Amino acid sequence: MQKYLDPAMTPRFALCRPAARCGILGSVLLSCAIFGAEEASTPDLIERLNLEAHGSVSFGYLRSWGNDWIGDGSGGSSENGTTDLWEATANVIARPADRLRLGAQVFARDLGRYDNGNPTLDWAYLDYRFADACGIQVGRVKFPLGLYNETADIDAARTPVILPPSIYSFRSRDLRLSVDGLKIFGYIPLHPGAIEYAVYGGVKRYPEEAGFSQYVNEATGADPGSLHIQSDALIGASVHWHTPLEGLGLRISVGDILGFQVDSTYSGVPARSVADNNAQGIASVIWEKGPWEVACEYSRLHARGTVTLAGNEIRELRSDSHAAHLSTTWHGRPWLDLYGSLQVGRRDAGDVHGPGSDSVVFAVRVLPLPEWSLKAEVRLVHGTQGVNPQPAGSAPEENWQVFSIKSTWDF
Amino acid sequence: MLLRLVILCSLGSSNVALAAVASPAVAVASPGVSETTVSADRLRDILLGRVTNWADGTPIIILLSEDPAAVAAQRTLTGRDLPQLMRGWKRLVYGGNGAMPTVHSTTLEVLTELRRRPGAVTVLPYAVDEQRYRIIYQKP
Repeated sequence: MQKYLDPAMTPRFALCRPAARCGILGSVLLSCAIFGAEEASTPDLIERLNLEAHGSVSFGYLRSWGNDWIGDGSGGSSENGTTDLWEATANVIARPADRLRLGAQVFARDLGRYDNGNPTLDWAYLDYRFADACGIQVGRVKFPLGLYNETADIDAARTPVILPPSIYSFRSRDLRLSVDGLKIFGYIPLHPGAIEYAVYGGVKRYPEEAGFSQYVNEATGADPGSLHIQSDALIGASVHWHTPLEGLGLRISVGDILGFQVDSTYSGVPARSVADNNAQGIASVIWEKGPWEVACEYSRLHARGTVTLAGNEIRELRSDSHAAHLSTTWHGRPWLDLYGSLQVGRRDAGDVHGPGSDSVVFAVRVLPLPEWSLKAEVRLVHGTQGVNPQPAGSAPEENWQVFSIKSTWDF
Repeated sequence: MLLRLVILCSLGSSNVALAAVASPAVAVASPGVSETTVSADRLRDILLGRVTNWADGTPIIILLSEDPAAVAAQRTLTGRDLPQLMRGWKRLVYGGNGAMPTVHSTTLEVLTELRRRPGAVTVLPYAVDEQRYRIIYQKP
């Protein structure tokens, strides 16, 4: 992005560091909300703006056996257990006029050696609904990719601690979470059934301090501090059919990162990976009936491009991984959820028996209060997909396990 | 702690028992709401956050009561108990796609709020005074 900025023509705000921009924007929105709240000595203004604020905070513990999965913030291994598993969210939403909604959310998390508590502007939007069938969101917007991409940060809204990581990046959450641009969406009743759709597009940044850059740095072994990731645009679409069969929904969603480019150096030699397309498509089925929720998803990644070293093309860049999960949640009691999931992933969709990972996951969630949840999760994994080179230089173990607990409070 | 778990178990059991019976449900809106009647499908879409404005564009303000009879009425319309319903709303709100319903401990509180908030709607197990509120849906 920097190359398109002309300091003479660009407002000072746009020249701030990206993190500072997020901070400023978030602060302005929060200040407006707080000022609005203080200005209204009576609750009239708050009610007239339909102003509301929400937030959540989570703390947890994660330990892995066999492989160091997420490390910890002090350079150690998650095999020794880590409490660097927390996240915090705060948002403000207002509905000051008919059909109009404004909102902003700040999010921070620490995940082992990833993200390290840096606050980010999760979303900030202006939402105008022309009709049920057509609305538009402008700003930093989240987008639907699979059933859970928009809610990947929301621990309070799900039973497992970790979503299937082969489909919803756990460490690289920033890769496909939101876009700075617009989203057009709508809900169309069909009698029976209904269609929900969304089409979106915009630009995307990949901050050095965020999880995706850290993950790529580890996976590729690039020189520290040499990594620079950029893309031209991110576009995508999603269609969700609420079928006439009660509780059954089908969703197709696609997201494509255009002009995806990674620059780095290896022992000082410059390298560049360029992919014209870096697309993910997900087919989803969800069935919700009474206390049961069953979800099945298939995801396919597709990227084609070139890798150059010191200006010479050395190989084709090719990504054809795919993954799937079948997950069941039983909301058996208002205070108790049980969850079980089978998750598979392969690095090459054309090689079913090739390298990948197979996981079995069990989780339990207890809600002593509606706004307070306690979770425990066990993950049994066979395969090394998603395991970065081990800090000690040893080969990753084929069979490994993860145990995590988490407590979340939201308001 | 053990006592608390026993209490929670008994509460959970009673809710499951309630789920087996389709309770009567009445949708009550504040007097100024532009729609005079809504279908069961539209009411369900409103309670699940898929429809966010009345036909004239006024934002829909959802008020929910924790009263067990009102919770049963909500379940009749949505197929979800209150914790499930709120979990869905958390997905919408924290995902940047909605504004949260307000939950009140008694139906009296809900009715008081309903009078004050333009665009507000709630679901009750019985009809109320039509001079003061607008009944937009009734399921016997």
